[in-house]
Amino acid sequence: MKLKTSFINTGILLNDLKRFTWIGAGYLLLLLSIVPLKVFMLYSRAQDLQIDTTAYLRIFQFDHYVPTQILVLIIVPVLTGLLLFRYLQDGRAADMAHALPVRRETHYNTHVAAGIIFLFVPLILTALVSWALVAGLGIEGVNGTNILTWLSNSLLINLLFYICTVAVGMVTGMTTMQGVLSYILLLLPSGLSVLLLHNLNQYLYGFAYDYYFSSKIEYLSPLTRLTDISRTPFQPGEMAVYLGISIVLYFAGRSLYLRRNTETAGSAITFEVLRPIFKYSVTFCFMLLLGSYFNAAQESMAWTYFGYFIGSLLAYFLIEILLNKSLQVFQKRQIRGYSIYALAMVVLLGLFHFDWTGYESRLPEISEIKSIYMDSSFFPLNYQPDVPIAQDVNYVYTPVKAIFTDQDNIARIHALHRQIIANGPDHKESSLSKSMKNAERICLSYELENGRRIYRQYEIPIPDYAGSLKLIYESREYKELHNEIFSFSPAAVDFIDITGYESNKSLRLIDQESIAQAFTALQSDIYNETYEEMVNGKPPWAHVNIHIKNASDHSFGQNWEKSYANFEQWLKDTGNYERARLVPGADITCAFIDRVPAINEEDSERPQSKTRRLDIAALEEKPGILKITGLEQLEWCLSQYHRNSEADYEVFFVLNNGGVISGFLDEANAPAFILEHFTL
Amino acid sequence: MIEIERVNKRFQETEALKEVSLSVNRGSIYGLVGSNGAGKTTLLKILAGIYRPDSGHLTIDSQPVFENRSIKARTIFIPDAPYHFPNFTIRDMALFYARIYPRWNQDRFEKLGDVFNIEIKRRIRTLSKGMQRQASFWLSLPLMPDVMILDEPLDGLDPVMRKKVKNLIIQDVAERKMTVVISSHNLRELEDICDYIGILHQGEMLLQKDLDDLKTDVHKVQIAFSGEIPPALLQDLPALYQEKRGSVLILIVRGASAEIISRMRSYHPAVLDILPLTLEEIFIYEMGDRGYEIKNVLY
Repeated sequence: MKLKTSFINTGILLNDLKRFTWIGAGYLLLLLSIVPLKVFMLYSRAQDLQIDTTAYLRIFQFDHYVPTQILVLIIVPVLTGLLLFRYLQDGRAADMAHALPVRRETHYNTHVAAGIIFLFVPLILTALVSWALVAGLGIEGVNGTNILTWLSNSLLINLLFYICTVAVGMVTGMTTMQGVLSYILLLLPSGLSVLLLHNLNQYLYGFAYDYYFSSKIEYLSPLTRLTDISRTPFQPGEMAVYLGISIVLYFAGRSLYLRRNTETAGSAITFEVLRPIFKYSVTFCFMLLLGSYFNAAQESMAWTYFGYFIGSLLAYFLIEILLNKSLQVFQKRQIRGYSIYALAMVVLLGLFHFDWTGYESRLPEISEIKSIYMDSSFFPLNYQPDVPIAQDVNYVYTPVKAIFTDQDNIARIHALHRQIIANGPDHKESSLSKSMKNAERICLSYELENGRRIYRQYEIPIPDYAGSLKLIYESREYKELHNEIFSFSPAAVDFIDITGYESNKSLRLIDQESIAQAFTALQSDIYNETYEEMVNGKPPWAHVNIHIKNASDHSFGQNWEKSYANFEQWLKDTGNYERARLVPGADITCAFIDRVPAINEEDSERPQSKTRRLDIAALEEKPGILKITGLEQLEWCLSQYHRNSEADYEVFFVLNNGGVISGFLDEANAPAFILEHFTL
Repeated sequence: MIEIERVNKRFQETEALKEVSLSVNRGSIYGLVGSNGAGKTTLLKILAGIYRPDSGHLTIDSQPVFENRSIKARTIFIPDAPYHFPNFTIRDMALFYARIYPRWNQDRFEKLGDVFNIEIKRRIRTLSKGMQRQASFWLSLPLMPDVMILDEPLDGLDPVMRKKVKNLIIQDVAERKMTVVISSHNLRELEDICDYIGILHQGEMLLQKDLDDLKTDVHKVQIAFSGEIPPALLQDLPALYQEKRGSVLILIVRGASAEIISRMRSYHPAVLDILPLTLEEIFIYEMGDRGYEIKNVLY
């Protein structure tokens, strides 16, 4: 008697179809009700309401307003995988299946195929129905390509999630574990990265947390990637990766099925070798998780260590209970296992403490450096303009990457970095308190001559590094990199809007000559600006918004700072000076100056500008307050007030339109009229 | 037909089978006896190609069983708690087997319906335990197996059904030379159908016997003398077991019956009687001879 060998077994397949058709049928109903029915519901309401055509399209972009579609994508394939391979996890069913004259490989292929049928057929039918409906109703805004994109994305996610569940099912003998582990695996790349980054950030001074974190960490896991799918559909590269992973998982699952022993149905982990790996991995992840939680909640390293201890202890013994299916796990063997783990972790943390990788002290030689990126964030560096954004966003912002190549600046930044490393963190806990006063984030990225890159990130107290920063900030290169005005020529400018600060005064320059002159004035003012002027916290006179020609909605902002003498002069020369800024008398009636109340240590609430004491009448009657109406005095106050609340006086400008602007003044440079009032 | 050589199997910490060997001839019925946890089910599942042995060789018709479709198509395993798909009727299960086993015999299935008095449209899982077991036999025999592996098959069957099932098995063995391996914790149950018996204890095969040999080999002798028992008798015919009831000496002796009688006669007993032994008695004495107390091994 000859038995034909085949990829799948028809008998098993027919039986699967018979037993589980309800999965496919239920899935189809669900899909029909959340896709074509939704379209029809919108259409029938369109009679009464104005329905935006993008509303139809949103349904085929996985509708981020209604997460049902994404939930279905996440739940149904995993459920299908669990149900079809349920027999493996039930001892009697597994025995029965493997007593049949069907090879294990055929079993696997047949059940995988059945699941794919249950998932794919409803999706394809839904796409066909949707297409017919959209075409039949003549709905604009949705075309065949949109539906095809929806279909291909759905098919791919279904395939990946399903195969992942199937493969996971081979290493565990419990259906619940299979479900839980499948989702954990789908989340693991992102989740573990976040945990590792967060924890490394506690140990490595200068760790470029933001750089790694901002580089689309949620895209690492398909599960978290889905949260963004309505905005950014899968790219061809991603689709290829997901398809590749699905294929790899299919073969992995098959090979594990062939090696798996039938009698392991019911055990948490079906392969002996995987048990310790599973145990220690879960312990490690749980340790990081609870450590991060306590670190974020308590902002203290003591709590972090507490979290590590509790997390690893709980996870270790829970897993032991699960693996042994017994509460009798507090035996010598298990306690020894945990002790070894704990010791290994202490050594690991110790190694980080003593900077065994040399990460904290690594500083390239100046001769090796090709360029250095330095900014207050990594956002411009990570920015990828080629990521297509959903249709409703048409404003494209392209930040300038502050990459320094000038040898002097490289040397200056290098020196600053050396200084930061030498000073080190005061003590490591200080890096936890993000509310450090006068702290600034410095993000560095070295590009070395050999092509390697080094990323570092620090929070530094500005006053300690003012000397080094001044040299860098005042360099022409820094200014050119940080002011977009240097990357355009005046000829490219369409028009310039100048809007007075805190006022509705505005001015538009449209003739090329004015634009060119304004450009020159602003550029020379920026070149002349000193470090002190950059950080003095004074509000500008006005915002200058520069619109570029032939680029829809492309504009960039530039301030008319109080220190900009050339621009001020040019405005005066062209007679636009008073049209662009607040003017004492014409715009400002008077101002009140008051001492900043002594700060109560407990009451950390600083005087809040604008919201407080808007009642001018009450201000006027306040004892000891100084009222100014003199134009020169008002002009002095306007030119000197700043936003830094650590000051001696508070100033309130009363505008003619009834508005109030508040700010602060310092005693150090206060003129006689103020000093006399408050000291006498 | 079936050859098992030095098979070992471990489940995590427990050693389920240790160096188990056995061989079963075509057309014979092999009874595997042992207490709970002796390793009977493990051995049968290895035989059915469900479990993979850790070491050792196992063949049916000189072919390995694991992942061997042609052997498994001719082998049927009925476990102690048969599995049927939820909501499946007997007809549904029959259709399933018919699609998978190439030798499915629909005629036989239909004819067997008269033997087993169960409605074909009944959902198997709603049947009683005994009826489910009957259903398993009903579904297994039409597969026309060459090898039938039965794990405690008669448990939960009423005496009438027991008889019927045994007859059906014996009929297949006689007509088609089907080979049967059958396990039980009850020796008495197997006595009337087995040709061979193997006793498994804590994963080890204690002994295996051809029942015909056993029955002709071991005898229970009742002997009485008018005077003293001649001491030479006990030296001449070493007994597996001896017991004195009044003046009657009961001996369990190994050997051919004619020879025993003639040797006994030479001592001129007043009474000499040779009685047949039950299978159970044979094993009690055989195992006692090997240092096992049977109540520790069986029951």
